[in-house]
Amino acid sequence: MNQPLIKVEALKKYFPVRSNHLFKTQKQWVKAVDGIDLEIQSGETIGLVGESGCGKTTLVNVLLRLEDSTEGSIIFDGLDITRVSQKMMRDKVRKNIQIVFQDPFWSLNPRMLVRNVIGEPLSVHQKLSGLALSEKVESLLDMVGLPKDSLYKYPHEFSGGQRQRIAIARALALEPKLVVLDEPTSSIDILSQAQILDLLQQLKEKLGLTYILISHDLSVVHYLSDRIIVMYLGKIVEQGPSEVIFNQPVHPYTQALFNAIPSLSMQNLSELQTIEGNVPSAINPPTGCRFHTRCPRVMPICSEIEPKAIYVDKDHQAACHLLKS
Amino acid sequence: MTQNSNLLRAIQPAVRELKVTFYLLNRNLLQRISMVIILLLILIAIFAPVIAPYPGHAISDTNPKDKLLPPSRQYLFGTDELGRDLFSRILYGTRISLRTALLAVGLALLIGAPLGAIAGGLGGIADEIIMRLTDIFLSFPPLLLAIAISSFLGPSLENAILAIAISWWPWYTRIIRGQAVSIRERQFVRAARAIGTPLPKIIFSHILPNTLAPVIVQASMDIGGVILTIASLSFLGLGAQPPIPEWGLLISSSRTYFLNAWWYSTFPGIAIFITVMVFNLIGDGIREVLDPRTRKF
Repeated sequence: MNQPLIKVEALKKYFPVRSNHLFKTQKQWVKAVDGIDLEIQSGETIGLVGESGCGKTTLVNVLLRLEDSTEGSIIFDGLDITRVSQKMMRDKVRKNIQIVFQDPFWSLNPRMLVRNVIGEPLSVHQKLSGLALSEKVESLLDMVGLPKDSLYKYPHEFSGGQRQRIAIARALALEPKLVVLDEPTSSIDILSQAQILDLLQQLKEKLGLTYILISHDLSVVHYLSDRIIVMYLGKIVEQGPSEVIFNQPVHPYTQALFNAIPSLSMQNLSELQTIEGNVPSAINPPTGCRFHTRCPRVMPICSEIEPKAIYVDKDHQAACHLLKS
Repeated sequence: MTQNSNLLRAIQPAVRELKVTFYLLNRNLLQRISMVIILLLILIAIFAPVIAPYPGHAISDTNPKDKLLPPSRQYLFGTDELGRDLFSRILYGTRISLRTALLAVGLALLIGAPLGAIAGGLGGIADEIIMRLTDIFLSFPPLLLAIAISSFLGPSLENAILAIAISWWPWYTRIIRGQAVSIRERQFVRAARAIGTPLPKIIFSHILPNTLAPVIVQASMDIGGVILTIASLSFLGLGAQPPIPEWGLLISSSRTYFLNAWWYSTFPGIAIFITVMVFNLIGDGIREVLDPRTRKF
């Protein structure tokens, strides 16, 4: 295989929490991301799925260096971006990794004209201004299918889907290599969702982008992704090609996740198989396999030994004790 | 043609802004009245020399033969102990009060707003230092602090402005800092960080503009309060000095004649009352204008 675009090794991000007892202050750690390895090839779309609180957003924040990692490395373009200075980050890396946030109502500065919102990366990195900036922004607006007269409007004058297009135009302004899509469709209506997904797919082909797609919506992930990564409590439990993960998931958590999708053909809700309980606290994660407290197929070994990721197939990995036997 | 249309597009937002501002302030009767009175006050301040029947009386001319006359057709608000026309002096006083209040509030904002944005935007040690500094200033009663500063600097109108700005800025710093802390976590600030926008630009073009709405409301209501404070300082002899026709000073010098010249203290008092009230009333209207999300177009 050729050189991956981004390679993450043993990445950890712990947040300190203080619990104040009467006489002593105890320092504990929330293990939001706890040892993640992954490789992303150029041109791929990776789908990142998992429940709320499983560490997806933290992983993204660390990938974008919005937060510093605790341990581990992220090699992007031959550069370990967990170590480089903020200046180096700005000069070399930022223009190549961009993000589209979940909620287009908060991801655009309400007091900036669309011209300046989309133009911000251009004025920061390419020092564009005046007419040159307007023209470039106009072509970006055109690319995401918005009218040119949007230039001198404020974000609140647009609908959710249109605002997400603005956010996409901003993310693509510098022609990045990697774009992180943090639940890009979860806060817009269903018809706009389809259009946005279409647009993302087209842009990917046109510009040769690599996507990391985070979503709760498994059908969205299925539609866009080449490979799917399933996370649970700060760890990857299963990863593999999209079709394989969808049709033959081997990890009980992945199976449970896909069984919990309501489908139009269902007669009533009792047909849905959900998993009991909530995600345990990341402060004191369960010993052994982290999923053993909720796993329908739990065995004695699960609470004692943490399962290692093993290859089920050529590029299909899962971490579960069931696979050994 | 392109040159022209580009220019047009560039000023388009500003024009729309003005229209919207006018429309919103015009919706509510009280605000409409306040707006008219404020416009009137501004016009009076600008055209005082033209409107005043005795412009000379506003400064140093004296006219002892007509001293302490009650209101009449010749002297609309009566005259003072030196025979000067009170109407003319109060008109000139509008000019002084508005200018000093705007200067004092503007200066306080100029000090307070960037400090608040820096404190909230940076967090950490910078936040701690700036906020403890505001605590020190806020632990003094504002009028007392202003009195102390202006008596230390020496009594004059300029020093009173400075004194008020110095005792007033921590309020703005606090409001802005509180806003900035919550805005720092918004996604558009994270987006700017992901883009690589330099920190000063994030603070001043993403965080600060989004914190201004409540502080501008506060400031426009404070203009009333500042006019009152300036008048108080002048009343105590620490602000404007005679013969400047400052309203507080007028009331101060009217004390001696309070019992037999009711008009001398009444008219400057009414002037202060109306001005302070309309500025308080307009505050709410300005909040709506400033928030693009509440204006729905």
